[in-house]
Amino acid sequence: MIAQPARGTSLRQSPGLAAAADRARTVFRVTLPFICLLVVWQVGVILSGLPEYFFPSPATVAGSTVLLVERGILPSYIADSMARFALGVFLGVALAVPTGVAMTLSRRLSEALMPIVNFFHSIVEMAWIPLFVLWFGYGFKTILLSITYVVFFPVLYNTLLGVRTIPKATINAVLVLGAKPKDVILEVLLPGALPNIATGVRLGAGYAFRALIAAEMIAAQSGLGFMIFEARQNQLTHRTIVGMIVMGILWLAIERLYLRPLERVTIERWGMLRRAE
Amino acid sequence: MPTTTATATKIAVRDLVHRYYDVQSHATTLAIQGLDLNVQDGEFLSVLGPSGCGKSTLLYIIAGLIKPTSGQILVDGQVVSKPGPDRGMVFQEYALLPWKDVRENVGLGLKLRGLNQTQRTPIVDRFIEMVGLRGFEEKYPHELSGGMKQRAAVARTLASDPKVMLMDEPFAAVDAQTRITMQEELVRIWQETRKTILFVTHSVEEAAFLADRVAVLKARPSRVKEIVTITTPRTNRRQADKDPEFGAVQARLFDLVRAEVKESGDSATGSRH
Repeated sequence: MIAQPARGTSLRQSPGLAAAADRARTVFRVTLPFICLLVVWQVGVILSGLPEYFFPSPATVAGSTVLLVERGILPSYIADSMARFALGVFLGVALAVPTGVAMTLSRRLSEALMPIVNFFHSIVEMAWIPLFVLWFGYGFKTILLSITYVVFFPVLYNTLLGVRTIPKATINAVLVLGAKPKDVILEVLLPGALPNIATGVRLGAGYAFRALIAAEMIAAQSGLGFMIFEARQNQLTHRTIVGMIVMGILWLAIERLYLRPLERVTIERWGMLRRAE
Repeated sequence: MPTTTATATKIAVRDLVHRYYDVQSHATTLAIQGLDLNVQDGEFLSVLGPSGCGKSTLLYIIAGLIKPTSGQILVDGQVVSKPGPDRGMVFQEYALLPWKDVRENVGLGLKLRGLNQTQRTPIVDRFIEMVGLRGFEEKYPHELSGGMKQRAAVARTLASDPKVMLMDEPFAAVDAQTRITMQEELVRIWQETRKTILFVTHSVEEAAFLADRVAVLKARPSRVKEIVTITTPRTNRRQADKDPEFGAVQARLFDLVRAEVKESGDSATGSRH
């Protein structure tokens, strides 16, 4: 009895174990609300006595998930959706950043483009889908275009903001060192605007994820949005719920693995948060 | 034929006029009118004047960052109108790039000139050593104090090997103690590198301590009111009371500046009674 160390001491003595315990606690803290939600859902199904096609139970949804994975449907739909999403976000950023930089360099260009940009920003991408379908048909091109469209605006606005927050003296300092316009863009404007661009990408990606599902519901023959929408017509309601859950998990993963680190690296390493000191 | 004893003119400012339109007041202001100034090769010249007299504008025009309304800037007899690495500039707000560490900031001018990493390193290290920043090569600007940031900015300017160094109130934002150290270090660096320095300040003590000659500017529209030559060795300049000749020069500078402050009607700016 006496030789046995106290619980706290043993944890402190092995930091690896303490870290593992910490991690386990974090996982528990995050999953607990979801477990509660599952319980409420199951109880709701039992108490309501509604038919499965109307209000499927967690067990049915789990079974449906297994079946969709086994048949390879879910993996291939996820791959399709993510490919559209990634390419769309990439294209949106690739178009918006150069446009933003060009607009900050030329007052005339900015004055000419700004009203047009603001006009189109107010038109939701869903309104374009009938036209996109007419021009590009159902499928990849139409969905890609919708995503690129929604990513473009927040990235453009944040690029403009980012370049404008760069102090004039910083640009002057590079000019007196003999910088050409190309050098000013690469050495000052882009890195200086990067924290804002990262914020724009994060916002844009969030909009794009919604736009993806919406566009796939209307204009696709594959993908998560297609699955969610099409399942209802065949009374496979549990598939709709599988699609919704996968969407939520995918977004959490994208946020944690790509978007948050992107912002953290640019902002924290350069001390941008302290720039206002 | 120039004689061998005559020193060459490094920078010549010829009949400079600068007028600008102020968007807020919708008025055109005549900032500089008929300013002439010659800076000798290797000279340390301070430009002194009341705030708002256009002394910084003069420096920006020489740097090529502001286009004058009329007049010319000559460096080594050549007219200049655009920024170039022959005229290095040190800014009051340091203007380091926050996303580059000290080594990258100091080497930026060399990088822009097309030197690769291996070519840059010995030059960069030499100037980091000269300004006393050894051991801080990997620090980012936000990790440095104001004085250290300005040391890095001075090293960045020197590394490009400019013909002249333009300094726009470089020590105005650092604390008084650091300022004194920085002034002494600057004199040492100037003596080591023999660069021509044009140093803008509103502080009489600073101008008098640093310079070979002090050009006092008139209030707006500004031109050179008087140039005061200081022959006192810099080692004797810290105690004006012990060196009557230097004391007299400093008193003269105070008088000139005070007259201009009064002239500009700006009674709020430090007129001494």
